[in-house]
Amino acid sequence: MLIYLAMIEAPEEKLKFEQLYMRYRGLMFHAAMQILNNQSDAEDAVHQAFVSIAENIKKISLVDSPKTRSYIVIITQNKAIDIYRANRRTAGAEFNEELGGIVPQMPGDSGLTEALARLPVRSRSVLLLRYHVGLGTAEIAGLLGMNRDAVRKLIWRAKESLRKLMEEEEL
Amino acid sequence: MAKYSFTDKELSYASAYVANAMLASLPAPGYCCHRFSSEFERKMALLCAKVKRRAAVISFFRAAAAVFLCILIGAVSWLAVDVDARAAVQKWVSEIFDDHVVYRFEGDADSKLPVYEITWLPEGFELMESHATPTHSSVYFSDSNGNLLSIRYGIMHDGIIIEFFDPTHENQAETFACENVSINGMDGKFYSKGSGSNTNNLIWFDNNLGIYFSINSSLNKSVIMHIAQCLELANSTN
Repeated sequence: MLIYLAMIEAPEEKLKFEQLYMRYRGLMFHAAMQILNNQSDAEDAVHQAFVSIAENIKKISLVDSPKTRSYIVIITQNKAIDIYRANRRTAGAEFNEELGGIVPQMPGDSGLTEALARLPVRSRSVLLLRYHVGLGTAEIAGLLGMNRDAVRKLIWRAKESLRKLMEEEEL
Repeated sequence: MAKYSFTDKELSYASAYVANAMLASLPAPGYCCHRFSSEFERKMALLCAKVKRRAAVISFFRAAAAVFLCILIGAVSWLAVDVDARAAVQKWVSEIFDDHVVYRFEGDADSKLPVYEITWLPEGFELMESHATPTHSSVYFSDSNGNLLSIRYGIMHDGIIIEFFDPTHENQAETFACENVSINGMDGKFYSKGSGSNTNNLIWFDNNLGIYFSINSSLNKSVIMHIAQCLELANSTN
């Protein structure tokens, strides 16, 4: 006569979140400041990013890995962009879609890589989340607060932007 | 392939390269020093507490799910030994073997899961999670005092195989006290928490609709029974 009891995994998720918070909050603040240049807004972006991370904690396997760091920075950048948009709307100014956020220094060895690095933050983020982090459309939609159709369109437009950049710059 | 086209694989490689370059343009996590404001620390403390509570809810309900499975087994073994109980819920059981039971629904089953509404909850309980499939629905609540509550219902469909739970097993007999109950005219069992558990468990069956229900909670019996009695059919299908 056997009884099987399920292994409890949830306490690991709790620990993981705390580790992520202690390890990356400074990095996230730095990433948010690159876009917002305002400490209070940057802290808001970090907090909102952690809310997203908490809701999607299962997506993160290892706390200390390049993929996790990328994932966290991308989420933070997008939350910073949301705050930036809200602030610009309040100020009555147009949102600068070309906002590059963190601009990686590329060696210029690959046209596609360089074009990707030049994309605006939002477009670059969805491609990185899709093709580097490996998230599906629904997961990206949940993370960025968009619906799935909007994410699909954004991915398609981002790819078109890549082709256009590569053609214009002859990359 | 056209000059300015690329495959998904190429885009994957480029994404990895850009992601790493993006990280390289930032300081290492250990070198990002910022003294966060007290308002930020307060908001993060609340968020961490919420994550801890959610984790506790999940832990509790995973343990309760195992208990629930044991109780379903127990219900079936109860049915195996109690002729009257078997007669009452004979639609549910068709074959009992030495070491397991095939828990079947016999007759014309309504294959669509009805929707039930929780019309009463104790004050202070917040929804933490909910899950729904075509055959099963579950919701999880907790309050600020750490009390936890799960409410589940589902279709007892053909072919569920459950291992026996032996109520006379010495560990189990010490864990739960069990009594027959009735929820709005439906037969059920209430398993009270013993010394090794912080969970009370209620299970009951609607034989007409082919639905089982369970409530698992650290709340006391009278509260759990009241919640069960206030579970009402919203509409006929999901």
